[in-house]
Amino acid sequence: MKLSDKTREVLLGPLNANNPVVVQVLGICSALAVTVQLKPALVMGIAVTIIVAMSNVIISLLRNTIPMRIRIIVQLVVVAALVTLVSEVLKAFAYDVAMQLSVYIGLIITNCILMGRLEAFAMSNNVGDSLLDGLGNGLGYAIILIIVAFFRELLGSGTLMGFQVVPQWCFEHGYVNNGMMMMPAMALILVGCIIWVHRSINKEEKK
Amino acid sequence: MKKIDTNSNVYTIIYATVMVVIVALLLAVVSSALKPKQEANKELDRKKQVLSSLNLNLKEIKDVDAKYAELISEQQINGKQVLVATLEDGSKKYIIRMDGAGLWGAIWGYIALNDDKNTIYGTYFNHESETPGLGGEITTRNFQERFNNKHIHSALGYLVEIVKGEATGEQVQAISGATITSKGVETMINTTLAEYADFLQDNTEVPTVATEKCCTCTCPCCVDTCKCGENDACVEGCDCQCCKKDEGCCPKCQKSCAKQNAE
Repeated sequence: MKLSDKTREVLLGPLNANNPVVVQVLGICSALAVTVQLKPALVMGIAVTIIVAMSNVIISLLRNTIPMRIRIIVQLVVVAALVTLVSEVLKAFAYDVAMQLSVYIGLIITNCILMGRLEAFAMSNNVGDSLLDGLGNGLGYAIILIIVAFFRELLGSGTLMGFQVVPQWCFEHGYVNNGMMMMPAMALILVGCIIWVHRSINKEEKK
Repeated sequence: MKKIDTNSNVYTIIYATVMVVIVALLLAVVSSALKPKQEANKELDRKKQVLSSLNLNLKEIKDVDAKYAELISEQQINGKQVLVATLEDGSKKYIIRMDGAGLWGAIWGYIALNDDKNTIYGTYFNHESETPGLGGEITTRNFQERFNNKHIHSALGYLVEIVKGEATGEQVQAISGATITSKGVETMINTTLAEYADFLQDNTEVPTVATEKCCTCTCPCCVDTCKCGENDACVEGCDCQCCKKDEGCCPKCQKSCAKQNAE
């Protein structure tokens, strides 16, 4: 299947050139909070992708019926309902991860990416495009989370997905995990580094 | 078709009402459908925490429910709830649940005491929202093992002392950079132990008989399931661990399983 230029732009744009985290700098708060380990970051990325895509579809379906004066409230209710659903499902089927993510699942409601996409895209585009836009933005967010979590877990705990990666003899020869990586501040610095790399790669394209 | 005015007040109010009712119904249905599964998860998590306070490696335990049922019985002693664990080597441990406050939110844990009610056998701590890498370190085995073999009886009552820097004697070393969380752990342990003072002073033996619990296995004598109730009395319908021990157990064959196996 060949994607048309517009579809390609809608789906793949947020992954790189128009990434919600590193370009629009949205959703930073949760990106800092859940990236100490790879597993919760992965679950968070999947959860946000599902919620953005579904709420985009729902709002896009309803877009002609929503009264303009309460449209933000309607968007909030849809997002809040979906977030509650995801949180309940996680508690039932992935209890450990749900506990690790604790309040941050609930705080997806306040993730700017969601409201931003609903207001800017889903309110004025058809269902198919909205779904792709939601998936694209969710995945764009997830990618950054996974990159940050990869480095934080590797350098901060010496593990990946909970498995020991840095061999034991390194510790015996004086290698120490970087405790700084466990702090939210380091996540911000990592996001900064990613933005730096991203900008220098994309500099030529923009001209 | 006449186009509805989506900006009229009546439309707005009806729209909002219908939307809220639909969403509320949906959430109520999902919540009640998933409730049993969530409760089961919570219970399993609690059992894992208790087992963890006995220095057991949770990764090696395949069936947490069975292990919990095998080792632990919940008892009311002097009006307080105490978990009594009988380990595989026959030694008895008392496990007490603790609740307290850390720096940002609630902390909780379990403390396991030897049957002298003085020596700490193991601990487990967890937290809601302590800082990762600092206060969050209370969940690590490294911190929890610092309490092992310390004694809670002191001249001042039932105390565990957590100190900054080098710990000597009965002191426990705090986590550097997490003074408030460490203090919170100390306060939590000491207030809980103070509440349990009656139990800790009482040196009368807790009858071991009652520590047997109904659990699951199949009686090898008559290949039937049996259940042990209070004082090891057997009840039909459930299976029990006591089949594995030397006592006669199964209500049908009344035989000792060990003897049966020897025959």
